[in-house]
Amino acid sequence: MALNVLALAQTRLGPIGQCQLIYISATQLKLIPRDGNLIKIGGQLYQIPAAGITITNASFGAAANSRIYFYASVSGGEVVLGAYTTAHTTDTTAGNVGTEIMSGDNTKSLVGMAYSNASGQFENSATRRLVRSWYNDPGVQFFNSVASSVSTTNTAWTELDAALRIQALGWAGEQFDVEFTCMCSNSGAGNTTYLMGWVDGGGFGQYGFMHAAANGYYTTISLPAGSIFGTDVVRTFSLAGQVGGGTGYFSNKMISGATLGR
Amino acid sequence: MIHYDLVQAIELIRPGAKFTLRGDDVSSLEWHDGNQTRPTDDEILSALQSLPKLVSPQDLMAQITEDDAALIQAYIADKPKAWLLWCAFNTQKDAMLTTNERFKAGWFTLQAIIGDTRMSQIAQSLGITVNP
Repeated sequence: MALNVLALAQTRLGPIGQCQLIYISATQLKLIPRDGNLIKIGGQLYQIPAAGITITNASFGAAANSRIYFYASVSGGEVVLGAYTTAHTTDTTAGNVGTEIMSGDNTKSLVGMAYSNASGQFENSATRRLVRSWYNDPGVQFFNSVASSVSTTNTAWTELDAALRIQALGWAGEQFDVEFTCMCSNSGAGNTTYLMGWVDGGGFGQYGFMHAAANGYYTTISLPAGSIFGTDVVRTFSLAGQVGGGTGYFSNKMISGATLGR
Repeated sequence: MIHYDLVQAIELIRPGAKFTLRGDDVSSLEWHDGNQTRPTDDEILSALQSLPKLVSPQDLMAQITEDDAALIQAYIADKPKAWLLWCAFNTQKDAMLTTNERFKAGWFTLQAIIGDTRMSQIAQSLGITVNP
């Protein structure tokens, strides 16, 4: 419901957008009140019910592998949630300046986004951070480790293990830090084994390498890196390796990282 | 450690080839080599069988029967070189590679003492093949 001027004054408002879009299950997301319960839509303030507002993937027929924006709008005086593929922009209309809205429609205020999986469902796990809130988003932490061994004689970069992949959805301009770690070895003394972060199917950051002291002597290589999400996009993190000669052995592969906020 | 055995098997049948193997599943083999053809799964598994294996002295000793022991004692009684080889085997603690020349020398000496049939039985029990 909309607030009158007196009620507005009484609330001693802080920043508007007192809500957070959270993951509930593979089929449900919810907009919940956070640090208050007000959201600005079309220049007016509205209250989000204490129980929150739930949206299901079935309610809008979520397509597979798609980026979906969630906007809050008003219907019958109540705040409702809708899912759209239309991108967002910052409103410059008097009374609503600075509110993030659906492009071309300031009756819809952005509250979050998700990237659907192959089944058209929502995901939020350490290896697949695919739901984000526009307001009160704490960022996401991601992690994956796979112990199994990979061996390669390839002298060109090759992705080591698809099972190690992490997918993280980020807002345009959001920063992230990530660390790629792996135990490396080589079949021949003096041979070089290389390791590099592999993001979105290509090399990422500086590579590392080890010279084998002897067959089977392992060295742990750890590569810190970071960048930003250029657009609202899913980035895929993995590891790649190659050798200068001999057979390179890789095991205990690990990726750990976090977004630092937009 | 099947992963490393598979790598050895591939390198045995396609020396110098460029490939990537992930985990213990031979079907995950990614072939990067344009000069050599990708080996079939059967070829790799066959090569796996011919890789050198490790045999522990205790496992081998456990196969020796009283009849075998009587033949061995009689044989080494007047042959110092054979006696030395038998003593070396008895004091061996680490597992032995079936391709090691010293192991093969001992194996075929033992074969000469207790006979082909018994050694075939022992080899079968240990799951190994020893080639000259």
